[in-house]
Amino acid sequence: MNVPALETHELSVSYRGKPVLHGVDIEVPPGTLTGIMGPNGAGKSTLLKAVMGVIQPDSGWVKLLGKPLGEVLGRIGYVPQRESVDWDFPVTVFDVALMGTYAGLGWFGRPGKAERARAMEALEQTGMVDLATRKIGELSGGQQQRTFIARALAQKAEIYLMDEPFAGVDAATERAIIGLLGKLRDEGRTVLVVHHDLQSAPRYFERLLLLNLRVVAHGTVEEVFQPEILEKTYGGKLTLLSDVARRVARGSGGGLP
Amino acid sequence: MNWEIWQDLLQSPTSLWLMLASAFTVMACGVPGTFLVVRRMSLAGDAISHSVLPGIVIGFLISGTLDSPWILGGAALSGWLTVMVIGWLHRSGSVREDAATGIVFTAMFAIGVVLLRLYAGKVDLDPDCVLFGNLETAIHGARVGVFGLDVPQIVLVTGGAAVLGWAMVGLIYHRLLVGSFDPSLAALTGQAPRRTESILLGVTALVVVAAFQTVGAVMSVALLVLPAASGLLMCRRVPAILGAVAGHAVISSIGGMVIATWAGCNLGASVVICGAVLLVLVWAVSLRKRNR
Repeated sequence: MNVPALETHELSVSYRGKPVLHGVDIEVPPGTLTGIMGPNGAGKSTLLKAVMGVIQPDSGWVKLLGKPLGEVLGRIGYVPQRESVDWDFPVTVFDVALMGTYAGLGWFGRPGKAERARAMEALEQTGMVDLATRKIGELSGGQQQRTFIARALAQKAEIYLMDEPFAGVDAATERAIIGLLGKLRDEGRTVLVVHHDLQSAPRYFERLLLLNLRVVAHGTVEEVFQPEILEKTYGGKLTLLSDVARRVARGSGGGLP
Repeated sequence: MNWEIWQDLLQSPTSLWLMLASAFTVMACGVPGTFLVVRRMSLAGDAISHSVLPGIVIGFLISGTLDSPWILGGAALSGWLTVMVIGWLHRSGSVREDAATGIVFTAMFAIGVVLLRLYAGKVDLDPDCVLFGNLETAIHGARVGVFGLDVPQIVLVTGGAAVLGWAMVGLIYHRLLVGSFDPSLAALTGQAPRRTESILLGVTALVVVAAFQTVGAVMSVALLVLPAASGLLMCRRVPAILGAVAGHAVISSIGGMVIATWAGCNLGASVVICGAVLLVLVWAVSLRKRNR
């Protein structure tokens, strides 16, 4: 069998003694596009941070491409949550895209022609070439997100971890991003996306990981996007949920509202 | 305008050395200071600049002179100890990082002041000189022959600090940039953000020690923050800010010299005042630009 792109075993994380994630045991097959969903505080971002080694788990382990994180640095790409970026930082769009190419430089290297070309190509793919010299703080929400997607593309990674890339972006950007994610998947890369919107989830992703402190369900959209599973994940709190569930029950998937 | 000030300044080699030493000091502090400011870590600069004081005093008590390696070692040690204790307080308990920083560095500074007052009388260490700097005296200290030129040692020390700052940027600019902007990406791509940060803080401690004799413990933090903050108002990219820091260094050292000569006051304080005036000017210009 193929080595899973991402594998976690009994992964538990707590913050100041409060459990945030408990016993997460998943295997994500390579070349797939997975949406990570769940209510606020379900541990979606925490899972990404634990996978990236930003937070230390209490117990359990993570393997990427069959190896511990330390051995696959540079093969993992990432798009941060918008709120976690310092938008006043003095960098341009091109500077940010170029950061995606730093992995192989070592302590004293500097990006040369090849790296610049890679960054430019990534900006072309996200339609940001004309804004390359703009300071990131001067961009709209959609343009900011395109900049970070470009950086991820410039990384030419095998696994991509994205924290709410669709938050606060315009419809055109959302379509552009989902197109790029599909392309990455078609090239055999593995993409994991923290996502909020239940309506669009079954159209955007082929696999879903439903979280609420622990894994509620993980599998293909057909297996997982079921009213009872969604209710178990969200606790039936959302009014939107019953709406989606009804639509699922009617067998129309989750089309546009 | 009183032209005699300029004539006096340009004809006296001492004034030229003084301006050079203060320009080097501002440059030395401004470079690591730029990265502290863009990382929103100005308080860490404050912490380091104050907490090296006990190390400097102890180093002086051991060696008896301000130009000994004991001073550097002592300063580096107490700076390092401070960063460690802050990290430990923050990690191990409920003390918030900013609070921990505020507590630890003021405590270290207080220890330094007590040591200074206790022992300064017995040895030849002027508390005012350590707290507020006294370049006018330091410039008449030891001299070193360089290429047949009789250079005051303080010019070499501050020049060396400036070279150290620029060397750090020249060598590991990309790691400093990505580690400051996005530590998570830096960690994920093997860019060693924590080691990069240690290097940045270490270089900060070293340039602060060099700045001690120029502007003293209290004001060296101004030099870490002022040039970078002015640059940040004017420039959109870090390399441009570093250029602005160099410009700021030259202007504030000349301006500081003029103020000090005119008012007959401490040169270090004059350089800081001139830097603050520059910041206000830049801020006013940037406001006008934004409103247009």
